[in-house]
Amino acid sequence: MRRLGALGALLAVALPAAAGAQSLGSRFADRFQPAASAIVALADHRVDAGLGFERTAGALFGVQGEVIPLEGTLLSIRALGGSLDTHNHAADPRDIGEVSATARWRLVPWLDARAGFTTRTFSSSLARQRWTSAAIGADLRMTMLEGRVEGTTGAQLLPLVRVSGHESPDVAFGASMALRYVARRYLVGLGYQLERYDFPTVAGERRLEEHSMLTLRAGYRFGRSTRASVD
Amino acid sequence: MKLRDALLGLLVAVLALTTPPRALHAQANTAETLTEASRLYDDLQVERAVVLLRRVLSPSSPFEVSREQRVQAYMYLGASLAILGQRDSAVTYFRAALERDPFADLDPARFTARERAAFADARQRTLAVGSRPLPMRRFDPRSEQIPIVFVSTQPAAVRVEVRSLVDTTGTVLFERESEGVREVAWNGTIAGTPVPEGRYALIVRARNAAGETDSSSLAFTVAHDHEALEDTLPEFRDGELLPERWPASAANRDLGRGLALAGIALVIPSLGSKDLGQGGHRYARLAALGAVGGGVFAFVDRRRHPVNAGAIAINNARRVQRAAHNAEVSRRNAARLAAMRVVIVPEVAGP
Repeated sequence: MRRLGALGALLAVALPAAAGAQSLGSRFADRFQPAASAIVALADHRVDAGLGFERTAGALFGVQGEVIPLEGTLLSIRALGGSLDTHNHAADPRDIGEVSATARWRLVPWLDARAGFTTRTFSSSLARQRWTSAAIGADLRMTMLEGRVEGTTGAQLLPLVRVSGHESPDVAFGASMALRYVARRYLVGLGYQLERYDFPTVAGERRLEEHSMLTLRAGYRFGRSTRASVD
Repeated sequence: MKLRDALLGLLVAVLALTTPPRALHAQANTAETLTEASRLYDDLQVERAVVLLRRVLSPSSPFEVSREQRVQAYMYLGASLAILGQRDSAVTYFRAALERDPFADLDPARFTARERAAFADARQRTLAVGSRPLPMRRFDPRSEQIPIVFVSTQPAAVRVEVRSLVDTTGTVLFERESEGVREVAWNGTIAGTPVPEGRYALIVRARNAAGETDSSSLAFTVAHDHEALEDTLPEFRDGELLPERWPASAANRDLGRGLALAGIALVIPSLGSKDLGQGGHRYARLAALGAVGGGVFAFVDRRRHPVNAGAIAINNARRVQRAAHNAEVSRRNAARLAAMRVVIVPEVAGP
């Protein structure tokens, strides 16, 4: 019930973005070309807090909304939620909810810069942990089939990470790759991302965490123009 | 010595300046002879006039004789011989004059009935046609005309036409029975459009009832006077447009990009902590598999559809843009041609 509640809360935040984009009218759609997507993700969360290796994984579901305010830029908001089940008995199952906002700028046709903000919540029967992070990064772009297929790969630094109940990690970065196929207004995307967090050693124990996720996305873009966007 | 050389040079210069050109002197001499013959004719010293006129027409005459002077000499000679009762000879010389200038005629106020009768006889025996030289003229072919004056010495079927000297372009201005001097007008058009620039001839042809024919031709040049026209841009050549088919390497390149993405997906987990590597990274392998699939899809699609639709669209847009530019140039040129004037430049005939 709590899981459904968390998912409901996340959708309540995310859905207005997508629903709102559809209701703003054709003028807004032509100007900003909003896109709404449904996301299915497979998440893998690994932790070693000095008490042994813990791993949880599971499927997440969510939505993503995005607009193109200016040529070569993209603003997106993504909301995901789901449950991670343990692969061994050293960890408890937990729910995860995540909302992230990302802004991208196309620096050159083959390179994008991006900055983002993410808040992520882990909830288990024992505790609730909230992560807040800000990231900056860059993505290399490579297009295929005249842009109908677009691949990106990038790296990001997370200079600002706050974790409730813990000190901020002293090493935090991520890497990602994505592939997107666009057919007229429809788009399908596949992505993989990994985030690594190395926390400072406390009482001789060093906490390591890793969060990776495989995402599958299907979306629809509104508006008359079909300007290429960054994914 | 120096003074002598200077005086000699001065003398040569004065002589060079005061000596008229030979041809001019020769024509002047012929003109003087004709003037003297005319005076003798008027003074009824017809035999002496005949001597001078024969001298002008003699092939052995050392002086240059223009066409007009020759016609004048023939006319006076014919008139003189008519007065002397040599009618056949008079008619012969009158015919010679008419053959060279069909417009030649005797002034009734100056020549006697006998002379005019001989001239009329000559005209009845000679079919000759001709046209007056066209004046140099600049006119609007839409609203103005130029006079064309032609003559036929006998009643004959006369055809007057303007015809290009380089192709068959032309127009008929007059074609029916005619005798004597007649004037028609030409508005400077051929088939309803202003006559193109180039060299043309005003041709007069005649055929009388006896089947005899004669013709004359007068060359002239047509020029157009209008604001300078702009050139339209030529059609695109091969190298100026984007290739409309993808090169064979494009499919391989797309496949390579997909494989590169797959490789990156497989490398990403190595950035994680080794302490957390247990159990492998299945999702990274799935992502790599997806990237390979994307590359293969792009490869196959590119091989099956090698046409570059984007380049075709750009090329078409450029063609449309160029066509619009050329249409605009054509429109401006048409406006300039609409205000165009035709210029007739007669060509100078030889002596």
